[in-house]
Amino acid sequence: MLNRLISYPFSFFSRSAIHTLCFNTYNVFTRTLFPMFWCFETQILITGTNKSKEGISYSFIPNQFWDEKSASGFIDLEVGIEEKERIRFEQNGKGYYFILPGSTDINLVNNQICKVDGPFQALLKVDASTVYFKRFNKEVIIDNKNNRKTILELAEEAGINPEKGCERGLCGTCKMVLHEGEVKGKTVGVAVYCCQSFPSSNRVVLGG
Amino acid sequence: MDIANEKNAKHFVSRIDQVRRNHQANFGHRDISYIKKIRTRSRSYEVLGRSLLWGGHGPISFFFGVITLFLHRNLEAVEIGHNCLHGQYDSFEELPEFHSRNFRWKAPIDEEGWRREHNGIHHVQTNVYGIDPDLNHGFLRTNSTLPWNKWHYFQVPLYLFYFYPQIMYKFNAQNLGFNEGFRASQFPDGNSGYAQYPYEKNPADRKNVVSRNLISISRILAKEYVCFPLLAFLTGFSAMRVLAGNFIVDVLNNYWMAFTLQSSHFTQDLQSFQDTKKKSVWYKCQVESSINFEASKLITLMCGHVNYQVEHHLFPDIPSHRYPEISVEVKDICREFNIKYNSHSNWGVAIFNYLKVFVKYSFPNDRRA
Repeated sequence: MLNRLISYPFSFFSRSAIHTLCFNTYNVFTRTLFPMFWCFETQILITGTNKSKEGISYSFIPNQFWDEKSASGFIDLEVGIEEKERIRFEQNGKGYYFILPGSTDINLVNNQICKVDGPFQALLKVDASTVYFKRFNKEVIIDNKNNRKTILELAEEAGINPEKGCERGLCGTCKMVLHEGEVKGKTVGVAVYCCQSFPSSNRVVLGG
Repeated sequence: MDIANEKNAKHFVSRIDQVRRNHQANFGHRDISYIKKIRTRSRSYEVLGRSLLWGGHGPISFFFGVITLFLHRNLEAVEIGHNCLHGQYDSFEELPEFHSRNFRWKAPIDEEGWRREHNGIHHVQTNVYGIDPDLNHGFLRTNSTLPWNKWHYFQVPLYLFYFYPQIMYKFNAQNLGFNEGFRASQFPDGNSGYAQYPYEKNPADRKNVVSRNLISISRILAKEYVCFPLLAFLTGFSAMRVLAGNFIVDVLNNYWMAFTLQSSHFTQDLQSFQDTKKKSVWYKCQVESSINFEASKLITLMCGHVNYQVEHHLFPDIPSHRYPEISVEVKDICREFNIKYNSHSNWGVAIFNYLKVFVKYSFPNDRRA
């Protein structure tokens, strides 16, 4: 009885509302105090939830950098390994959604995603720990100081005197060929416009 | 529509970007098969040309040997070499040998130096006084702003009869920064008004570029003037015939390159320094600084599609065989936005026009009336 009396006022603030608040605080906090994380955060806008026999599905609007591989990184961070095994990404005419089969509650690992009625944002952090420039046999380690830099700037940091021109992705002088890993930004086929691209996987190997 | 208006400028940029995106989205089999086809054709010309010069007898086989070998050297120099070094085939995983950083040019030019100078400076700061090295190609005076000196009196004969026959052997001097010393010692105003390079400042770089220059030139000299004549001699054929044939091909190739490259520039209005943040201004500058000339399909191929210079300057890393289709779209856009699209009716007119510029600026400004 006493327990119920004590817990009642807290249950009045629904779990989701508290977590939404926490989540948004976290979001604002990281954005303002740690802006250097931005370039490795892919934001996915969750627009709604839906319960069905299959489980709970979350529809979301992918941003321009969204792809399924990145989304698995998202699940790593926000959901945890157990749930990750069971998650499915689907696409329908309206957009993308992912399904958590059998889940009846959204108390996911770390409670960073929570069930809310309105849209909220989830963050994806992709580690990009090293960029290796094969032709020059030089490697750059990405840390908090340089993680907002383009690949071209990283090459300069590695002591390479890279070929560069307009730095707007127009002249193609700085193009390198992607051998391994993933990059976000301007790419055409295997060619990476280094002045307009950022590393987005643990290891990126570039030729040229 | 005038692109001075910000709304129009945005519209202009989006139209040009759309052309780029449409073509980049279509990259694929067509481009791969094109470059492979051209390489096969070039190799066949080489085999035929060298066989005729090596094993043939008489003037007729010599003549056809020279022509076919010239076709090979020319295809390798521009349609394959120039375009690959622009990174036009970098997007294709299937073509590592045509990627700009892997490509080995069958020309006496250091690839990296050329990429840095041509792609990184000339194609970005086109027609910008004191920055674009192609305004001078050594010490040419092609505008009234550049200080005049007595050397410029002789620029027309010097270029036409001394530099043009060996222009590709002189490219390294421009790309690797060897011209600065000559100008500093010979010209009263030194390097004032000419594009200069940072390589000179670091002695280690200097040593490096000297060896790169020697390697790139000697590989062609060794192949054309030592290896093939020697092989002919060792197999009992005439080394002199091969040597003479290769020499004539080399000179023809150099002349062809010189006329191709120079006839598509030297629009007389200099541009101000290009801030590439303003895409609309940059695109406009690229269109206005280039001159197209109409030519048959064969001449277009032999010029490496550089006669579509406007399109080449707008989209330097889109495969060149797409330029004829792009030019239709670009012409429409330029018409719509009142941008001057320079085009000559044929190559002869283009050459005549730029030679007029050479003659005009051979003389000091006050005497040129």
